[in-house]
Amino acid sequence: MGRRATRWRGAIVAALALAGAGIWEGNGTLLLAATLPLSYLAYGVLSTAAVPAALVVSRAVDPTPAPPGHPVTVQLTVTNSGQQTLSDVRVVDGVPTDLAVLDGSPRGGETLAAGESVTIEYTLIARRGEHDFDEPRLRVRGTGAGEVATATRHPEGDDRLVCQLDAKAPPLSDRGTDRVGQLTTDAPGDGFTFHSTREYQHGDPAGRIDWRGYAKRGELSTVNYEQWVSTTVVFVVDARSPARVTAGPGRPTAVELGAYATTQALTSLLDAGHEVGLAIVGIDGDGPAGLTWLQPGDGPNQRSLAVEQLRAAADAAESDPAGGPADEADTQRQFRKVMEMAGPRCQLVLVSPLLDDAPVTAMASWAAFDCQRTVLSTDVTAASTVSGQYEHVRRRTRLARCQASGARTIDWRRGTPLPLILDYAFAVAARQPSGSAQLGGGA
Amino acid sequence: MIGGPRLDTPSAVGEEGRPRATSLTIAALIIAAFALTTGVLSGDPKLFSGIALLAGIAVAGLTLLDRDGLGPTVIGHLCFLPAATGLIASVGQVAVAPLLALGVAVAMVGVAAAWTNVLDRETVSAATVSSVVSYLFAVAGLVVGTVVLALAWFSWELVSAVAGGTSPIAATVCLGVLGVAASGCLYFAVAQLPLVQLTARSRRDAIATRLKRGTRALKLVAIGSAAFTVVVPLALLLTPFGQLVASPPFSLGIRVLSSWVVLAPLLAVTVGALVAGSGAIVIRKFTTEFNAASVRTVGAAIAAVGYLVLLALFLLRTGIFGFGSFITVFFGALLLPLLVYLVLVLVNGALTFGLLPARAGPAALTASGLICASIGAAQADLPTLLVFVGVVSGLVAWDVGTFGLGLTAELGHRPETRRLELYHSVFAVGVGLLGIAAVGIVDAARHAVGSAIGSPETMALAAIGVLLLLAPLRG
Repeated sequence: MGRRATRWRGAIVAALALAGAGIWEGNGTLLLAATLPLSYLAYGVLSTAAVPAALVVSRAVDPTPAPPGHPVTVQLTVTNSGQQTLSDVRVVDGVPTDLAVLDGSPRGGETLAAGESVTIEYTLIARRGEHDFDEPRLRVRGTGAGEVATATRHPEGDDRLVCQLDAKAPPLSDRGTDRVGQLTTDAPGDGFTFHSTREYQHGDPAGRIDWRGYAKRGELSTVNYEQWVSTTVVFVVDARSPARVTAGPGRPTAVELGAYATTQALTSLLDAGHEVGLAIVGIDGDGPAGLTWLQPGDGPNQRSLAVEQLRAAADAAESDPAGGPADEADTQRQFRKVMEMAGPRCQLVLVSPLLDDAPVTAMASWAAFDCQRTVLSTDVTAASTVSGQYEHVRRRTRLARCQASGARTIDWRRGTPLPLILDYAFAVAARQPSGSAQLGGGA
Repeated sequence: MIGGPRLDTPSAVGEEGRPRATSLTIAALIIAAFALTTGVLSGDPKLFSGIALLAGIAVAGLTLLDRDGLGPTVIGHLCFLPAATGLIASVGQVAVAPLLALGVAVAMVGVAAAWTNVLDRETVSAATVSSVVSYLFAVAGLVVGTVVLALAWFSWELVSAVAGGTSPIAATVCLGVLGVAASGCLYFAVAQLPLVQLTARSRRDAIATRLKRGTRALKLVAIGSAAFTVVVPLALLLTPFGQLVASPPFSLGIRVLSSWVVLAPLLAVTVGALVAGSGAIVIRKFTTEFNAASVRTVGAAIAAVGYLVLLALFLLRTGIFGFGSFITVFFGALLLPLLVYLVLVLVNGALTFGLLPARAGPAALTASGLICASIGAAQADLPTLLVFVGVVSGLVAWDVGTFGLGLTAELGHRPETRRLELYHSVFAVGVGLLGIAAVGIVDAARHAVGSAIGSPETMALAAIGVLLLLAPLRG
């Protein structure tokens, strides 16, 4: 049995008013009209409601596991598998409290004939962790909406959203190649992409002879390919208090997004055979100058170590959103120490939301070592407020300053898939004029 | 934005978002059909068109008064008070039973308020205060404007009388007073205008020094003119010097002093300086400390000017001048708005004390309006069926209105629920049609029998009996 809804008290007032007016005026029509509200009163009273067992609920969460900041689609379907029409079925899904609904609504309502179903679809923003959905709440009303019955149902299908930093990164053992180095250079050599031809020299492999040219000109020549070499890339993740912010309630922090971006990028680079190192600035690490430092290396174990450290950084940022008092001198000392530890031959990738000037200063100081530098900036500014737009303009200015200092900048805006951003950024890099080593495939 | 601010932005429709369109469409159609049918049966299908228009504009104005922006606030004022005043005036002018016209007007206001979802205590009380402020500004503006116009007219007449005259005393007094006024107004304008701030930074010190010198000179001119106004006429009056200047060639000088060539520039400088100084104050007041409260105050002030313009246009359009204009202004523009505020206070009280339900206030207003109109239709001896249809319309409007608002409250405004609402509405209308058929048959039987069985007394007894039996159910 449900709860009675008091919707028709006004009908009694209307009936009394009409009856009173009828008596006052001596008007039989009004007296008769006074019985009409009572018919609605009876209609409401006779209405009954119960949540039938034949209401079946199922939920689908896609994708799970998902990376932080990734939109996750949730579909909740309620099916009336009984034989009676349910005039008013309303459903509210139990969205995990830590997550924010980006689009759609976790609520819905419909009239369900026998065999019909209603599907509500909404989008969540994934945050790192395992988030359990509550059971959806169903509410059924009778035809006159005079009674309301409420119940919860355990849904079939998914009841949990799992969000991991390496959610979309395949294990290295599955896709790894045995090639040593995938960084194109100007020097010709072994590889896959055509570079030039030269005169045949004794001992050149038969596979590199230009047989077509030999057929045309009758002269033997040897094909040169773009040479592949490996490089060392060090990711520097900004986990200081200015980066421990979110774009809104229920959204991942910039540190979490940076950790995800780093996981993606380092996995790709390790997959391509490069050596990858990791430095985390802004949390108390056991490395030099308080850094969290992972020496450059390669292989699956390197990725596991890096992901573990990134998780720890994201945890620290989440558990202490305010962070400690920022000391500019300490921060710059840590950034300088990164350069010292990495060495001049490596490439540096700074992952930061650029919400203050410290990373820009660090990029400028790294320019003295003449190494290749990249800034991957996660956008966590809100566009819907004046202050958010102001911060957005300042962030864009900082990106421009980084670019002016000779660094390559990658602006990862919300809603753009990270792999797309990385692919695009490295495709641009491949088209740049030659003269320095550039990232090749894999990224 | 074309056509002014939109009403259907999220901020305009309350915390729960946009109300359910399907339910409210059905309620609106029911009211429109009832009003049209009543008009047709009364001999004028357009009987309630004016009331509908004014009710819509008044509620739109009430909605816009809930906004924070200056533009929507001003437009809200300009829509609300004139339309609400017109609505109250129109109810008394419609050629049907007053209760019928009142009921239709209330129902239309109710359904319009349901569309915009603004009939809650906070909105109504804030709109009342805001509108009262604009009304007081308008009344004050009317009084001050009348006084200023009277002073301007008096001054103009005085100067016109003196100009071209030959009286030395009148000419010197007029010249002295104008000198005092011109120098005083110039001093006021220089003090108020941001002359230093508008100058290039490099020349500000020089300008400030020059202004200080200028204001000191203006003070001296004012004092000198005041002394001139007192001393020279006395000298002319009490000494033989007066007779001397009255005769040629000195009389020619007096004629020049009282000519328009001298007086007109002084008058122009006085008026110009006064307008510039006052304008600077008004602009400064309206552009500094710009927060929500000042937006409301400034909006009310601008709207007050708008009221006066509308009133002037109305008087020009209707050609009412003289005593007739006084009557129109007093009753139409001063007393009827007080009636509007009385209604708002009553609505606010009803919302405060729970006579109007918090969320379902618009639906309750719609339903009670239609019930009231039905009673009016019975009083006007309109067909019995119309009375029954009116009552059922009120009940259906209540049912679908509260159902739609409940849906919005429970599910928010995003999910699609048209089918759900239509299904509910079909049953609500169906129950009503069955009820109309039943009471129609009883009424026909009552008229056919024509005996004591169908008399009002026996019907009253029957109705009271039914009520007593069903009252314990209480809905």
